[in-house]
Amino acid sequence: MMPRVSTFFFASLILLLALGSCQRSQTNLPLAQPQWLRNDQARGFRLGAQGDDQFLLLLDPVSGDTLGRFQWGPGQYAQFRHLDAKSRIASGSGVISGLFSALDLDTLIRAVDQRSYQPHGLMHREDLIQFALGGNFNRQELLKAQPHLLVHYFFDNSQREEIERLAPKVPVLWIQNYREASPLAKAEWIRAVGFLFGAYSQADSLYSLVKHNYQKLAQQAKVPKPVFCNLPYAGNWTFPGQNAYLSTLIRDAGGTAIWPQESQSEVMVMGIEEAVGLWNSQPQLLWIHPGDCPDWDCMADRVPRLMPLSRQTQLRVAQCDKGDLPGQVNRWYNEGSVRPDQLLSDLIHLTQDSLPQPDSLYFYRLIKQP
Amino acid sequence: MKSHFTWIALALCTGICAWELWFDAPVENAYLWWEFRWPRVLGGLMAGATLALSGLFLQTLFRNPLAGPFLIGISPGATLAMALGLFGIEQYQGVQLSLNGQIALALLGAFAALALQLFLSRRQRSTESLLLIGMVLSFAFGAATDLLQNLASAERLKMFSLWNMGSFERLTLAQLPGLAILLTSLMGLAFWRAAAMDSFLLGDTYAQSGGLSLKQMRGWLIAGGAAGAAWITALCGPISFIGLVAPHIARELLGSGSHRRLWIHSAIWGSFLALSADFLAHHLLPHHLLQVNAVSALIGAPVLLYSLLRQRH
Repeated sequence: MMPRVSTFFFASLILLLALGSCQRSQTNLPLAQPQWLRNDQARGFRLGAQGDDQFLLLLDPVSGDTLGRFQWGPGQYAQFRHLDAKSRIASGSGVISGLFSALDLDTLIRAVDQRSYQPHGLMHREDLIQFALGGNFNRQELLKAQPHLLVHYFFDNSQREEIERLAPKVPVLWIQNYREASPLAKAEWIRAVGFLFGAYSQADSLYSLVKHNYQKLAQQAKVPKPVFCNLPYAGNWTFPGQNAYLSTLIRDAGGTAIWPQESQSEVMVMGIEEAVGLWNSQPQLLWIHPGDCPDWDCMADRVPRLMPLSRQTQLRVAQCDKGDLPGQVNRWYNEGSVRPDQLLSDLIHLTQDSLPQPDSLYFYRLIKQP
Repeated sequence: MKSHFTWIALALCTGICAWELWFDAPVENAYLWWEFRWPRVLGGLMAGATLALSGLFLQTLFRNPLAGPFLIGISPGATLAMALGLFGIEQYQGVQLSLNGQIALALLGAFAALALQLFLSRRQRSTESLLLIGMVLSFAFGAATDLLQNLASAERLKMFSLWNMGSFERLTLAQLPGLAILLTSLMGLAFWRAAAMDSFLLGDTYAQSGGLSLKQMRGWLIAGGAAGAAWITALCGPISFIGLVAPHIARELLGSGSHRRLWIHSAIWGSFLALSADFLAHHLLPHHLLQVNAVSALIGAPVLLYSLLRQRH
């Protein structure tokens, strides 16, 4: 009797182990690698698919370092973090929210950093939770929003680690579009957002349209025109570096930035005297983004010493606040990163010889001079 | 003998001025020279001397070589007022402050800080308590400024950090006469009260026994020290270390704390430090303006450390 029981017991055990190992070997079967889509210009993300599974790889656009691997769908890929849900978003900046707004996906956004920086449609939404103020996090508010995903950016690794520590269970999607090399590459991030949230074809069409318009417009800009920007404050005049977003747009619009194009950093600071010396030698000049001044009186009030000099140069001054209402964020920042073609169109109108009709400008507005 | 270094500093000051005003000047444009270069160089010269005299008065008042406009809350008070102006009035009220409005606001902040300091210390007799009250106020103003920065928009934050950089570029021709009057007044005060400051330094009992009115003396020193620091902070933004270091260098080179010669040596070293900081800020990197505030601290910190370490041995 005993041998039969033990035989039965061992046979069952062997059977169970065999079944177990079969199951394990099934899960251990190497899953097919994702097929990656080819990006047009952006270097900060890769989109992939394999069967019903979809993949998003986030990279540093400059160094190429991997910042995150995400996958959604029925499969479970060990190297990728599986996104179980992605319908509640915490957005880390107005520019990121702008990507969602462009695809009418802003209803997914439940929490934001600084409400007043958000696109117009979002900033007045009553159910919106403000989880941070200019990068200063309120962890409780973030958790109250119960986000499935935190979509954010970082300037350095310590900031990245700090944000990841704040909500360890919430996956963080790093949108480093500000580090892309060109306005089109930055705009292409709309494809990543569309892919992740089921609006890929819409995003792809939008990007194709933007690219088509941008390249067509850039060919129209033939006559080089001197361009100057910003307004001095407290004796210092800041300019974008040669690889900065605005510098690239000015170049593509046929403009010639008259400040020295040698700084690799995002911003360079010059003394007011040296800066004024640069534009004083130009017979004609387009002066854009004069600080936060909406009109000439404000500029004269801020820098009275410039006014006598301004009469010696034929100036065209334009501010990027067209259509903005008091208390609302500048659309240039939120919409401009998605629609660089529109920005370029404005700048071409301003830099090239023909004076723009008021309606032909979308972001910019000419400032009247006395 | 070592005091001859002060005359070398004076010669170098003249050299820097000559270089900036004639050899490296924008000769093709007289307006640029007159409206921008001249106020920067002459203003820097006077601002440095004013800060040094302000630092000397405060160090005498507190009988403490670490006293200075930063430590007793004057510069932090002006900074807080600027933060209130930029983030509170401009950003939330939508009112644009003019250049003179901003200067007036910074002056108001500096003098409000001083008034608060005087109010809180009216019953304090010891200078240590006065200094501690100043330090506490500085921390409180700094913390309030940090909190306000959290509410600021990116544009305002940029403006505030530019103001905080400190620069003589922002000085205008119209501001120079006022600055000259202030400096002359401070020099007059130092000349007139030099002997009194010497006896004040020897302690309350000694000073009173010599017939000095302590209340009046404190009043003069506070008024002179605070007015100088407040005015320069309002016009140029915070310029650190010059007020603290210049009297130290002068004392070290003179080998004596006697105010009869100390004030003029301090003023010369203040001018030299300010002009050197401005010169380096402009010329170290081509087409880049460095922070005068940071350059002056980089020059001043090693000098102060050297002086302190020497005293210990």
